[in-house]
Amino acid sequence: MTFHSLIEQYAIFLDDMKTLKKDGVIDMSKIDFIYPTRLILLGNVILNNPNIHYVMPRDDLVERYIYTCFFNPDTTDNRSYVPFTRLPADPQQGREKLQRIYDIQDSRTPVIGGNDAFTYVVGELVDNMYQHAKFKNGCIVGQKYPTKQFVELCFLDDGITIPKSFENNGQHLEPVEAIIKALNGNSTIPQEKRGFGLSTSANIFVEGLNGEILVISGSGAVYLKKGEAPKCYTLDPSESLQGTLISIRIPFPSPVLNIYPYIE
Amino acid sequence: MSTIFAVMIKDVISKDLALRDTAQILFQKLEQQDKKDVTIDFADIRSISRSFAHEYLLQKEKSTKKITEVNIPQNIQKMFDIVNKTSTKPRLLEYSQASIMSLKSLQRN
Repeated sequence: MTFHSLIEQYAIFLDDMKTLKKDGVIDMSKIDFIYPTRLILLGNVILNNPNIHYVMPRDDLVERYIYTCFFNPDTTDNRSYVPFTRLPADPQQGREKLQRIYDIQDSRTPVIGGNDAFTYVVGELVDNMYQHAKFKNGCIVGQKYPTKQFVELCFLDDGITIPKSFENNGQHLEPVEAIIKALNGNSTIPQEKRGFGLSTSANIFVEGLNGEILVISGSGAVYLKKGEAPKCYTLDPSESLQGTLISIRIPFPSPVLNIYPYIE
Repeated sequence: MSTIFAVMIKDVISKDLALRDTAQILFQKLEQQDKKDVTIDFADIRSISRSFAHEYLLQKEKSTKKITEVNIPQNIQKMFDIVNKTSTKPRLLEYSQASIMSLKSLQRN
């Protein structure tokens, strides 16, 4: 079982897609461990393309985990930290799904810096999807790894991408530049006091909780980790993502965080 | 007969206030009823996103109703206070200083 970083998981997903293109099948048979980033990307493809052929993992535990996430996420056997949750395009239905996630977290021991941090970042990032992405399909999933000592939480949509959202508002930016602008709080909606959602959430994860964040949108990717130089990638057309992925890793356990200094 | 329209926000939306759209829906409902004075009760509200708080204040400013909030928990009031302040956004990185790589540069295990 190999440890894969957030960006490595995306690279492995691209290999999955190459195999799909070449052989007409998503072959998960050899997967002996899957982190949420690769899981959410595969889930988005499999669940939204019913004609796609796929092979489930040979490993029973992994097979059961993936099956539960994709096809039976509402079961009480689902021990995912944040169950694989598909977000509908309608925000009213999305609110109900979001509330379920909140209610599950409320009944558990706080993990990501406490309930305030969790509800704030999940609420802001999901609201961003509804405000900006114009998506058809969105999803969230999270898992905690007590032995590996981290939590991984992912948000994915198949919407218009961050660079395209800026372009639609008259700002033609390089993909990485657009993602950096979004991370720095520039909103594509020209209104005062907008643009805090992604920037403050990233601030909480990276600065407040000593975590790491990967944002992939269209042909750009930006990775931030406290204490390390940012890593930015320009993706060629075969590597680009039709939508936006935000993946986060935070040390576990994390102390309860006072979020207000990071959002003021 | 009361001249005030009172609403428990947890019953109209939920205990967790997150999405901008739900703030808009709340105010659409308030505008549709005919009483001028409205009391919004925030009892039992657990959490609020900055986005919801901002949208709530925008909608309140545009509303034709006279709105009073009651029973606002401390953490909720704090978020409204933060939104009302002029804030600077955190700058996490600068594009001019970013070195941009190709994904092919990634060494995979």
